[in-house]
Amino acid sequence: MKAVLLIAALGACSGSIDNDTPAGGEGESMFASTVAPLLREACAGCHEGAGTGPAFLGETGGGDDYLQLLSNSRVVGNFQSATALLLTKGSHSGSSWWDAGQQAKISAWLAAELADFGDNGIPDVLAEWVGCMTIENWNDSRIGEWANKQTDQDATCGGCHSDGEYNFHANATSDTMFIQQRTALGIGSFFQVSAAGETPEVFPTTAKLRSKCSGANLHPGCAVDDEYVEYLDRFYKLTRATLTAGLCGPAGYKTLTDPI
Amino acid sequence: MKNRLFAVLVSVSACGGIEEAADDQPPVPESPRVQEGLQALYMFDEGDGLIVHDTSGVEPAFDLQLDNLVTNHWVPDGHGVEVVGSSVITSTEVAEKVFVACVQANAVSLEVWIEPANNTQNGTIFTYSKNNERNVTLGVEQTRYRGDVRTSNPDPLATELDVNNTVQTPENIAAPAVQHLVYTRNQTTATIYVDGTVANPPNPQDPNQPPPPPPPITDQNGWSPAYQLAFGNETDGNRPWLGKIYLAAIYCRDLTGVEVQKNFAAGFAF
Repeated sequence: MKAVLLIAALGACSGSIDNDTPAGGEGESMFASTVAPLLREACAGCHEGAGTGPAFLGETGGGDDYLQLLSNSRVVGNFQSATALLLTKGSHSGSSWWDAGQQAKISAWLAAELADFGDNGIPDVLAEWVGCMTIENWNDSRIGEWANKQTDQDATCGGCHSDGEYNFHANATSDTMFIQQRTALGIGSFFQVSAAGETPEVFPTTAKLRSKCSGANLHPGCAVDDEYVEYLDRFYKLTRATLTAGLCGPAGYKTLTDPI
Repeated sequence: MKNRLFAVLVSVSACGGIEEAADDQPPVPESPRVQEGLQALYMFDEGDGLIVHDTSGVEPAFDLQLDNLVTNHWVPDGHGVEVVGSSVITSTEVAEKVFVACVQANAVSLEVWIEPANNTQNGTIFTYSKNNERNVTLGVEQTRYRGDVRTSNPDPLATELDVNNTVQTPENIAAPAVQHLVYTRNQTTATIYVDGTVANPPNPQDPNQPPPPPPPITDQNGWSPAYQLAFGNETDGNRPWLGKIYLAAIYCRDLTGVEVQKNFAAGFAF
């Protein structure tokens, strides 16, 4: 039911919005009071904005965190505790994992969201984005050149990330790299979700890439030359144009064996 | 630069309603040109530099760039660019607003005020293409003007998809003189107007023959967002056109004959 809220901005003038739709369901208030503080303390250091880990939190906290999380079906697992990375990831990067009380709070929140949204969950904008990505636009943009980008350790991005190591997918064979990007694990290499507007939108991970290339967190330094940013920006704009024009294929992540 | 942006007399509210301008607003002159469906307008009156500004008022502006000032240069009187050698006026940016609007509309109109240098050239005047793959193109083949648009034919019996549908004028239409040229295309028909008049009239119907079947309905879903808006050539430089360009516009709808005549009457130096 609350899924209506995410697209309400588009139909706000139609006069057809169900008056029974809550302005914010129980899940949203529960998130603000019990879950958001946990995530801010334990996760934001690496998982917000340009952080070093996959971004699933917003850059401003609050409602930004909430909308960004709701747009990330892998992290919230369509509100099923058994599949939500938020509960299944486990200890990583030297951090301790949730204790039982914290897990209970997160599970309760997911259950509340499931009740609010129903079994269909929410639109996964990254999965929709995958349906809009085409090999023609990929090749035109030259974004595959990222695999050949040099680091200050005399290596290339593709040298360390050819098979998605460290959650970044940059195979030196451009077609293979495109296939990688369409998977649930690969899409985060160059795209993430922003909840800065009224509805979640996909945008390029330029800030995150710059952060990585700054040499922080044991990552080799690499100048993010304008040409590489332009490659990414062009692929982003071409894909956005495809989306806006209504020419996308079916939404959904692909597997590594799906044809281009 | 002259103010070429003509504000409309009404504004569209956030809910799609029409609101009349407030009484205390100064009257705004109505544009002498058709505004509906306009996506980009180039007046070529900058006079110097390399940038040709999109003055349509449709955001974001999609400016173009002369590739040099040797094989093309500004016309001294302040209106137009003269292409005297192989050149291309284009932008490598994604023409997102044009792509989205025209694909959604399944229609397009290209308009130019030009003065060809001769009537012996085969060249591209105005195109949205890349490496000879075209979304839409207006060109000349000696004394004929020609319009191409990429369409997808949803007819299940069709054997050819993403085809270029072409129309052309008869011979002896293109001439080394100032001419107003409009190529319009919708889902079933395409028309080329020269100086406000249809230049590719349909063949007369034989009264002894049954009427032909209606043309198939097509769409523009095969367009590519990666193509470039360009004047005076294909983007790979293989179809140079020589002459003067005084004004160019792209609309994402098919202009009617009356609208074409309105733009013709407005001229290029208003």
